[in-house]
Amino acid sequence: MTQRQFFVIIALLFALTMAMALYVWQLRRREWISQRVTVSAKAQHVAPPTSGAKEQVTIYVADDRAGTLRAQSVSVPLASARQPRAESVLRALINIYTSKNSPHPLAMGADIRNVFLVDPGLAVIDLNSPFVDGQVSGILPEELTVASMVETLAANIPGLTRVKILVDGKERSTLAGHIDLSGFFDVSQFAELTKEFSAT
Amino acid sequence: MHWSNFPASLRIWTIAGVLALLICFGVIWAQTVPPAPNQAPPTQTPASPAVVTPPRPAVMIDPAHGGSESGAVLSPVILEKDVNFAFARRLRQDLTSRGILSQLTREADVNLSTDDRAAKANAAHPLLYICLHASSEGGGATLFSAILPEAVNNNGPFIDWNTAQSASLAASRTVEQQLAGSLQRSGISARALMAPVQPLNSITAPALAIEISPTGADVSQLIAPEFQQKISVALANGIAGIIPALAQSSGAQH
Repeated sequence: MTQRQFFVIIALLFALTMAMALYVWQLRRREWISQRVTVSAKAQHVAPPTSGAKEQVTIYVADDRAGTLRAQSVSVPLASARQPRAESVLRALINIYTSKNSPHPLAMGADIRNVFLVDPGLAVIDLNSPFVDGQVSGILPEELTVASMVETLAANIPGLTRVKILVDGKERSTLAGHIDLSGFFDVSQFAELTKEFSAT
Repeated sequence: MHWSNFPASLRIWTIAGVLALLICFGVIWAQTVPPAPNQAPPTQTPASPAVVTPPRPAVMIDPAHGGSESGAVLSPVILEKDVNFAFARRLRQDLTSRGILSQLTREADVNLSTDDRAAKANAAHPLLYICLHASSEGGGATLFSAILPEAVNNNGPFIDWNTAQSASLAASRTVEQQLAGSLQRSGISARALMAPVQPLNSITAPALAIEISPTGADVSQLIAPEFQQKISVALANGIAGIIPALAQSSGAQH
């Protein structure tokens, strides 16, 4: 092998390494962007059901930057039955989170699959996967999501004492790596927490 | 055949082999032959223990996540597990400089379940357990104490794993307020909250999770040495102030 051939091979290997590094960097960047903004192909804007008369309800809206939870009054078409009523108020909350310039952004397509009310005082919220895939990871942002849902339900469903969260109908250990979903959320403890969030 | 007729390389190898055998025999002999009767007895006293117990750490620092579990992807190049680990080492250094012994639950980028972390912390019997997290949202430092599920009757020698924190929860909340105050006095925005975060519920000592976050939208602040240093120094000062009370309380309990 001549010296010239040796240098040509080294140059080719170097160029190949650089190209691979660039490719890997682009792949990581693409993955990161897709994690931040999960736009599902099947994603549709969540809309509250049109049946039922419009009513003023109180929902608790999280604000990531301020780290707060604020009560907000919105007008939502509500059914008289408790279960569709629970779904409607939660959808009104998620509509705010998936809208443009949301104070607590969730990915487009984030939705609740079902809310089951089980006596005495238990609500089971079943979230879809775009909801958790687009959730900002961290104790505070995850807790704001859970607290806003628990408080919104508690404000509109009398007699609620505990809330359980499932994802795609299954148990999940955490929402996005931090807040523990394995147990039940005690409504009275979250009422205390909401006071702390609102006090800021 | 005469030795001088052997090739030179073969002679060298033969001599080396013989020397190696002699060394091996020497080592084996030295280990098997009993000491001479006139030799002095070993200086080790019979009462001294065979195993040296490591000193009890005052603070157990737990850098959350690790290994394949990266935690929050704060940017394409900043992973939460790396921020937590760097900050944990900095905090350990700042505590050591104040004479406070601390220990990390992980010394490398490895996977460790929350149960393993709790078991490790409980086995070390620290005065304080701190789990470190990082997030893009929050604006400073947020401290969290545990939210426990319904109380379980912990009579007898065994305590419920999911509510092991219950006996220390009041102390955890006191420490939380004091550390938040220490951070605020250093000009760092700090809040004291509660959260259902593992493994806080399973820790038998006062336990907190501390999440650091950038003051603005720029997450690269999380890896800036001066930002980490400011929070670490404030925390170390706060911890140094409460360790005597925790030691006293721990001594009274035992």
